Order: sequence, then structure tokens, then C-alpha cells
Amino acid sequence: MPTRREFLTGLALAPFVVRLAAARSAAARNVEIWQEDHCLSLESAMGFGHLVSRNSPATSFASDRTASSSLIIAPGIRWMSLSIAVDLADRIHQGAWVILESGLGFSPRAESKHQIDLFKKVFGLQLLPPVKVGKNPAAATYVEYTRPVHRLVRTFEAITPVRCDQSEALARWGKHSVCIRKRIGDGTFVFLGSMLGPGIWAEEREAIEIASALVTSDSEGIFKSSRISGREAKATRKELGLL
Amino acid sequence: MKKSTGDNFFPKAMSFSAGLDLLKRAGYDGVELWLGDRPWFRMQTTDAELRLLARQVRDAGLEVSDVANALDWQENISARDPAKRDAAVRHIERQIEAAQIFGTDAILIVAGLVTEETPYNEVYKRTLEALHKLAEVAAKARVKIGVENCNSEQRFLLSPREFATFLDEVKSPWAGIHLDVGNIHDTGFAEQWIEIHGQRITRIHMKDTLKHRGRCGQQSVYTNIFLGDNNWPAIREAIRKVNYDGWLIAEMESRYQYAADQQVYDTAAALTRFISGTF
Repeated sequence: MPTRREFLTGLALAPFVVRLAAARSAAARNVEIWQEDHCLSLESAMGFGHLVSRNSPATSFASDRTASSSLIIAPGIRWMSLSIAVDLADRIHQGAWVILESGLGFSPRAESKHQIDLFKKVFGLQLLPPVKVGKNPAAATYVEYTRPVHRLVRTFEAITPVRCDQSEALARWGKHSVCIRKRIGDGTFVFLGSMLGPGIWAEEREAIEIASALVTSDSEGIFKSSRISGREAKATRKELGLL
Repeated sequence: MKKSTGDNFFPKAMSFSAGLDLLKRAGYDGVELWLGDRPWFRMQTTDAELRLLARQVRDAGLEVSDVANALDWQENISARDPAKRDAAVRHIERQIEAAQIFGTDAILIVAGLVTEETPYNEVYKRTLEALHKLAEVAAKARVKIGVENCNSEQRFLLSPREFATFLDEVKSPWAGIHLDVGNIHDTGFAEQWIEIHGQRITRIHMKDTLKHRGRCGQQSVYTNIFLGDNNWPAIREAIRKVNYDGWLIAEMESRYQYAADQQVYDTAAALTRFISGTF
């Protein structure tokens, strides 16, 4: 029986499905943007929405999820229920390319702690407590992306650091890794610990370039990193009582 | 990045060659030459005389970073008086010719002056029209026109986005922004201007600003690098972000009551420290 919170969150995560008739990658790709019910996620979703539709001559929105979607973007995520997280993990295992943008820096501490635990269990990600960038004079102004292209992009108020192998890191903020890319099953999970969508929405050149590169990166293309095997994933699901 | 400063920063009564020697000793890589400021570079100065200046710069071990002018405040391309407008076009074209002789690829202009008598809309249209024509001249000469952001003094193109829209409308790769990080005063943040204009920045003017003095009151808002309110680490990072690797040109008001040359040395040291990125 889902809790009230999970039920509401399930409703809030109503996806926009963008069907791209012609994506820039070799194969046509369906895109879903999962949006939470708060302005942060909305703003970011609009940024990613513009991005994925800008090169497509025929873009339409539908209200249902598409099983064959190969790219899922979850912008400004602050709260994900266990069932939704597992659903997302399943989709990745089946081959989806997921870009999840953390909005945890804007959540109460207790909630962010819960989410950190969830990310560890479901996705095997070791997130650290969010850091407020604010007006800390010692803090770096920019997140430095090293892959897929080298660019500096402004931080967005708060960042969620993540522990990872160097081979998985996409970006750093000071000494912290903040964005990583991880192979899970047949798919790919990109975690953005610093919000990128609002920068796209605000037409920040570098944010657009980074996001474009991420969105159009083929899962077997420019990245190489470790994979979580199907067996490991199955064990995790068993541990969570989902099998 | 390379360091430069203007020949209008030479201590008073110092000759051109003595000024160049001073810059070299202080550690600059180049000099910004101002048309219409010092006696050696006027509208009447001939091509042969310009070539002589170019040789003196080379012999001093320096380069010409760009060609500025001190004439736009009297003769502007946005003026209502056609004679002044023509004069402005002539001196900008002369800057372009001089830049070719000096072997540099950028000039600085102050484009558009809004006053009580000459309103904003008029200035915008006239300036745009003039720049369309001048950009063609610049393209042929392969010299970039850097439109300086003298926001407060010009009362024109006051925000970075409006400036960008203006350049969009000029629609020429030969017209960009000569970005002055001190001229933004209390109306914004230099690092954001750098981010927005990125590859369109032709040159960067360096000076500091005292924001509490507002915009253009009785006291100057300008001061030496690191003495004012500019966020220099943020400016340094923004320059890194947009991959600007060109000239940093100190544009200082001469303030030292004694030992005027010391300000030239101190400014060079500040530029070196800025480039190093250690704050």
C-alpha cells in the first residue's frame, strides 16, 4: 500500500512524452520528461523540453508513458518514491538512457537523507549531503564539465556531490564530483548533481552545449565506464523486497 | 593573456619613446594607442608617421594591442549634426587604417551617446545604421570594431542583454564588444557581461570601480585594480569560462600625486597577479 506521500508523488511525476520524429542521433528516439510538481522542476523541464524539441520538425506531447522511450529526463528531482525509483531502474536495465537532475539541495535535510539512502539502494549511487553554494566566497562559481565536452557552467544555488570512480565522473565542483555517468544493465544513468535545466531555459550557451552533448550521446559511443551486471541488479531488487 | 595599457596613461610630458620604455620595463606586452589624445597620434598624422610609431613600438619590444580614440565624445556616429556624424565615421575609418599599419586587429569606439537632447530611440537607430556601414569597412580591412560599454557615461545599451541584442542587429562578425569591467559600476556584474558576450569580446579593459559612488557623481567611481568592488576572482573565472585569451588592457585614471610612473608599475603587477589567478 503506497503512503500518501508516494501516491501524491506518483501523480506529480506525470511525464511529458516528447516523440521526436527525427533525433540527431542515428536512431530515432522517444523522449520522456518526468516533471515534479514544483517550480524548480517545471523551469528545468522547460529548458530540457526546448532542447530536445529544437531540432525536431515534428514534436508532439502525449500524456502517457511510452514503453519504448529511449531517453528519460527527470529534472529537478527532490523526492522520488521507492516504486518510481525501481520503475526507473527497470527502464534503465531495459536500455533507456536516463538523465536525472538532482533538486535535493532544495529539500529539507531529513528528506534529502532519505533520498540519498534510496539512490544508494536502487541505483548504487553514493550521494553526499547537498551543499549550498550561496554567497560562500571560497566556493567555485562554476561546475567544470570534462565530458562529453569541456565547459564551465554556473552552479545553481546548491549542489549534490557524488562519490564515484574517476572513469564515471563528468563534472566537478571544486574537489567534489557532481555529475556522473554510469552503465546499469543495458542502459545508462546520468546523474546531474548541479541543476542544468534552468541554465538551458535561460539560454546559457554552455549549459545548452553540455545538455545537447548529453542528450545526443549514444549509449555505446563516447563514454566508457563500469557496468552494473544484471546479477547485481537482481540482487539489489531482492534485497529491497521487490522480487 | 597579454598585458597592455594606453599611451594616455604615460605620465604627463613624457615622450612616446620614453613611455614605451616605461611600459616595457614595467612588464607590459603591448600598448593601446589613442587617436586624438596625445600629440603623436592625431587625425593629421600621416601614414608615414604612423609607420614610424609602429617601428618605435616594435623597437621597444612591444606590440600594439588595439587602437582606441578619444574623439567619440565630441564627434559621435549618433550625433544629430551631420558634420559631427561624418567626422565620427572618418575618425573610425582612420582607426581602422591605423590598426592595419600597426599590425593589430581591433579598434575601440564609443558608439552612441544618449543625452537630454538626443533621445535613446534616435541614438539606437542612427548608431545601428552607422555600424552596418562601418562593419563592412572593418570586414574588408579584417579589423574588428570593439564597441565599448561606457554604459553610465553614454546612457546607452545599459544591460548586457540589450548590448547583445544590439550586436545581433549589427549582424557582423567584425563588430563585437570591447568590454570594460570597470564601466558597469553598480548596475550589474562584470563577470555576467563576460559570460553573456563570450566570443564577441574583442578586448578587455581593466580597472576597478567603487560601487558606493553610484554612477556618475562628482567623484570618480574608478580606482586601481583590486582597490574597488569588482569581484576579481569571479571575473577571472568568467574569462576562463569563455576561453578569452586575448589582451587585458589597463585603463587607469592617473592618480598618483608623486612618482606617477609607479602607478604604471603597480598596475602591471596587478595584471600579472590577476592572470595568475591567485587571490
